[in-house]
Amino acid sequence: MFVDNVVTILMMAPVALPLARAMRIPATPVILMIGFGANFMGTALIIGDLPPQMLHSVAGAEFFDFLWHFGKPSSFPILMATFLVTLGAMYSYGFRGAKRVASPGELGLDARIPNRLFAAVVVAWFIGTVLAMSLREYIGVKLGFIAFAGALSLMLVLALLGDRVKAASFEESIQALDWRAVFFYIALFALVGGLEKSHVLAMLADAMKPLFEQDYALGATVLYWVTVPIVGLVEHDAYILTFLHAIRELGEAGIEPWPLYWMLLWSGTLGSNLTVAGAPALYVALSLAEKEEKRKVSLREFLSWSVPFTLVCSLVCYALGMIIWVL
Amino acid sequence: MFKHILLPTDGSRLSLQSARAGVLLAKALGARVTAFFAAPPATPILYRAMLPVGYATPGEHEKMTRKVARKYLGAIERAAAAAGVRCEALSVTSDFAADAILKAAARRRCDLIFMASHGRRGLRRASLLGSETQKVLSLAPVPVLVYRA
Repeated sequence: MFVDNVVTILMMAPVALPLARAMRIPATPVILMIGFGANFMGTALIIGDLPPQMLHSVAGAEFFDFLWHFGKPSSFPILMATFLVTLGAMYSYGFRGAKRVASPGELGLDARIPNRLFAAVVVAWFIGTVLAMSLREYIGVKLGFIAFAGALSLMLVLALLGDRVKAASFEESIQALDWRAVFFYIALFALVGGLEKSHVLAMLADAMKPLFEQDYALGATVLYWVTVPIVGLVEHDAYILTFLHAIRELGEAGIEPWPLYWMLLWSGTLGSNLTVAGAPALYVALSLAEKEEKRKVSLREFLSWSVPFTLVCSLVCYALGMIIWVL
Repeated sequence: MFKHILLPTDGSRLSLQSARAGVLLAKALGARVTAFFAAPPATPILYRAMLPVGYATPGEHEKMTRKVARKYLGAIERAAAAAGVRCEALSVTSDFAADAILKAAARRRCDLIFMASHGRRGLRRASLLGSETQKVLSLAPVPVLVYRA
């Protein structure tokens, strides 16, 4: 919710893997569940993943709109409720045979922070940046500027603290950035911008309009359930951005856009857990699992976890979304 | 000529026929055999012919895998015992049968892999060789004898 989903997987894996080893449970489902969860909850708040940020740039959704919007619970409460139900279902599906542990001491694990000053500075900066993002409307600057300013000022402070924090140098931090992802998203926005300028999205919206005019609930249902399998097979960011623009066109033609924005955002995120192709975060999770277990994970094994997870969360979120936003 | 033959099986009728033929070849050559089975890793959902048919915990899955491996490998062991051929049984967990066969052949220093043209999966009449057999043929560093029935 607060951190990019790939970063979440990289942060949580060192916590989960020793636990899985100590409890003698297979690492693959544990890591995949972290991947699914990170991908899933990335859409709960504006800063967790790209789709909510796209909603911010296309429709102007702000931080608090993800909590409560037009007097209704929106992304955070709906996805949180969905997540809790899905977690219970997945425990019953795949983890109920696992050993119960009363305390971390039983596992014989010892965790400590090697550099307390470094940890304190990074956590304080992180919380400050998140707070600034949540207050973006009142500060009056762009969301990207806040994130960029937070990252740059953190690097500056760490450089000033020098050897006391033993942080990576500025050059190393810049090199560690996922530049491929940065350029991918630049290209993605350029491509969808081209589709908009050439009126392809207006044509798409025109084609969709009769469905929503005749039966809005049916239209929202079709949009949701067509999106789930598609984003399981193609990268979800491109799909979501295209349809966010198409929904904006629908809004300009007099169709109420917000329930559709939310249904698209949720189905686009939840469906992307179906296969590795849908979400790059899952590729990272799968690689970590394969490295840990020193074996390849087959598609059959991956699907045995991803299909139940996606089905349960998509069904629960659909029911909540329809009851709260569409009907 | 060949001293140690690997006999992979997936429990299908054809692979058992192939393993029996492999045992007879080993007898004729005075070689020993290793019967080999790669079981799929534990997943909560169990499949038969690509369709989900049941649910199992990791513990249940392990028990089931052991039982199935005993059954498949036991048939080859019995055939070897009847023919007076020295036989070892080996089972591993992997969804990638061809990789597991190649790894087993290298670890056990087998000088021949004797396997059926088709396994459980795929269409027998539609292709000359099954996909796992093709992979083993392409990648094996030792001779591969394909048994076609």
